[in-house]
Amino acid sequence: MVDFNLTPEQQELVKMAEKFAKMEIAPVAPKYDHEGFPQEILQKAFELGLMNTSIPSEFGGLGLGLLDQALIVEEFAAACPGIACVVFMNELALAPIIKFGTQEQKEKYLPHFTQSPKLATFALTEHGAGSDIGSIATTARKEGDHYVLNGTKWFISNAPQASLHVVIATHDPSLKQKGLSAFVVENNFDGISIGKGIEKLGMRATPTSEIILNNVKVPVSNLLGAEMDGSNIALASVNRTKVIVAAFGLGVAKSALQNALAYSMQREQFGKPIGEFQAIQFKLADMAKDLEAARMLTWLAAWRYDQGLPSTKEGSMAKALATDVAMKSAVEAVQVYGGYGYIKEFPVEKMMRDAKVLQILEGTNEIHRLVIAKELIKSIKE
Amino acid sequence: MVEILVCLKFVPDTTAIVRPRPDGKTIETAGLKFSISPYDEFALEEALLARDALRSGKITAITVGPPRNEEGLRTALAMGADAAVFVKDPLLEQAGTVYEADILARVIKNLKFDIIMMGKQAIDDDSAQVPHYLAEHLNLPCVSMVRKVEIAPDLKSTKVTRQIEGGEEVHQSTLPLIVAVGKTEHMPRLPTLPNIMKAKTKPITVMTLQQLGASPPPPSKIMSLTPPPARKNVKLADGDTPEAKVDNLVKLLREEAKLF
Repeated sequence: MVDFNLTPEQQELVKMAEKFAKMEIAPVAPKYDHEGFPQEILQKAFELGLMNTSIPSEFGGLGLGLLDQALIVEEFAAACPGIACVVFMNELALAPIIKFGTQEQKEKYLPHFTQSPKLATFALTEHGAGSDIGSIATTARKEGDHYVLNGTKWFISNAPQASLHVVIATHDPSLKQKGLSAFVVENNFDGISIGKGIEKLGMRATPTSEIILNNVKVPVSNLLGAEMDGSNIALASVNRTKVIVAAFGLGVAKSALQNALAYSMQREQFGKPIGEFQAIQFKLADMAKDLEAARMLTWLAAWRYDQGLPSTKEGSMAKALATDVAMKSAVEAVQVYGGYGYIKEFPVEKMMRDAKVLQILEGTNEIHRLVIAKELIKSIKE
Repeated sequence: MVEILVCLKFVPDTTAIVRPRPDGKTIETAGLKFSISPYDEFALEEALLARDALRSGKITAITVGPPRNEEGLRTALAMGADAAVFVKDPLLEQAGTVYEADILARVIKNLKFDIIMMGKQAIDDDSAQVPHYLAEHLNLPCVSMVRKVEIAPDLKSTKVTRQIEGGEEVHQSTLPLIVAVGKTEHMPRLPTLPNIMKAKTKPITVMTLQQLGASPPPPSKIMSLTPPPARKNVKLADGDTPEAKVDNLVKLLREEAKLF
C-alpha cells in the first residue's frame, strides 16, 4: 500500500520552510541576484537550524533524512535557487565527511558547521574535468606524514566564503578515476588561494570561483576513506545530492506554475484574462502535471535512499526529470508573461536563468540518463 | 515557576479563499488551509517571551475543536509551548462562542495556572467574546487589547500594556488574570528545526466532551452564510493632463456615482 502522507514533523518543516522562504528570501531574491552573496539570509537560516541539517545529532546537527531535506529545499528554491544553493551547499560538501569520515575527522570538522554559519565546498570540477572525473589533473603526492596537493579547481560554489574544502585529487593521472582520493582541506592551509569570481547566467546569489592549490600540505589524517577511494566517495555523495538537486527543480517548477497561473488570471487580452484561452490553459496543465510527476519521483528516490534501498536509478531519474521540468516550466512561464516575462521587473526571467544550471550541475542530465540506462541493462544481464 | 495557559483557535489561513458550501450554512473545509488565528499567535509569542524573561515556566496550549486542530497544537509546540490540551470532537466545527468558553472553563478548572493568554478575537467569525465569557466562568479579571505583558518574578502581579486610541494604557493586576492580546510589537517566531523535532516528544492530552461532562449539541446555529458581494469594476479617471484627469473624475462622480 502506498502512503503519501507526510509525518506531522515533516508537515511542520514544510510550513516553516515555506514561511521563511516567503518572508525572508523571496523579497530579497532580485537584490541578491544583482549583488551576490546573501550573508543576512545565511545568518537567519542558521539560527533556525536550516543549515547542515544532515549532520548527525552527536555532532550537533539534526540528522534529518533525505526526504526531509528535499521538502525544505523545494520551498527555498521556489523563492530563489541561488540563495537556496548558498544555504544548502554544505549538504553536498559535508556529505563525504559524514559518510566516509573517521570519528576523529567528524569530531574535528563537523561541529564547526553546527556552531556558526560556516560554509564548505565540494571541490571536484576542473577546467578539463566535469562529467569525466577520470581526467582530474589536480595531483596529490605523498611526502612523509602529509600529502602535497597541486592544481586548480573550477566552478566551485561558495568558494570565496568557505572555510573548508573537500578536494578530489589524483595520485596518478594515468590511473584515471581509479587513482583519485578525497581530502579535507582547511581554507587556511598554506598555498590555497581563491581565484576571481565567475560571472554566471543564473544562480547569481551563489558565489562561484576557482580554487588554486599550490603545494598545499595536507596531513595524512585528512585523507577521507582510503587512498584511491576518491571516485567511490564522489559517486556515493552524488547519490544523495542528486535528489537534493531534483528538489531544487521542484521548487523552480512550482514557482513557475504559481506565477504563470496568477498572471494568466490578471492579464487581459481580447477582452478576457489570457488564462481563459486554451493555448494558455494547456501550458498551465502541463506545468502542473509535470511538477506532480517529478515530485512523486523525487519523493520515491528520497524515500528509497532513507530506507537504505538501492536508489541510484531512481535518484538519477528524479534529477533528470525534475530539472528538465524546471527548465521547461520556467520557459513556459516566460511565454505566458509574454514581453513582461522578458524583463527584470517580473520574476520569471530570473527563474529561467536559474533553472538552466540545474540540468548541468551534479552530473549533466545526459550523464544521469546513462546511469539509468546502465542500471536497466544491468538488471537483465544479472 | 510560572504556569501560562494559551488558548488557541485554528482558523482558515489569512491567505485562503473561503467559500460557503451549497447548504449555505457551513464553509467548505476540503482543501482549505488552516492556521493558528493571528492574535492567538501573538498571544503565544508574548507567552514565550514572558516565560523566557522569567527564565523558567511552563506554557500549555489549549484548543477546542475538530480533529484537524491537532496540527495547530503541533505548531504551538514547535514554536516552544511545553504541553498541549486538545478537546477534540467533530461536533465542535461550529460550536459558537458561548459553548467554546464553557468547554474551555471546564478544562481550565482542572489546570494549575498563573495567567491565561489568548487573542482578543479569532479572525474567522471575529466575535471577540470568548476571553470575557471565560473570565465570567472562572471569576477572573480580564484585560483586552493587550500589547505587552510583564509578569513580576514573584508571580504575584503583572503589568499589562493595552492599546487605546492614540496611545496606550498601563494596568497593574493581581494574578491569576486573563489577557486578550491584540497586535503586539513582536512578530510570532518561526519554529526552529530542532524545536520542530523536539515537539514530537511533547505531550498532547486529548479530552472528549463526555470526559468534561459537557452536553454535545452546540447551543448556537448559523442560519445562513453568504460570500461578500463581488467587487464592481473599477473605473479609471483617465486623461492626458492632471486637469483632464480631475475633470473626468468629477464627471464620473456626478454621472456614474451620482454623488451630487
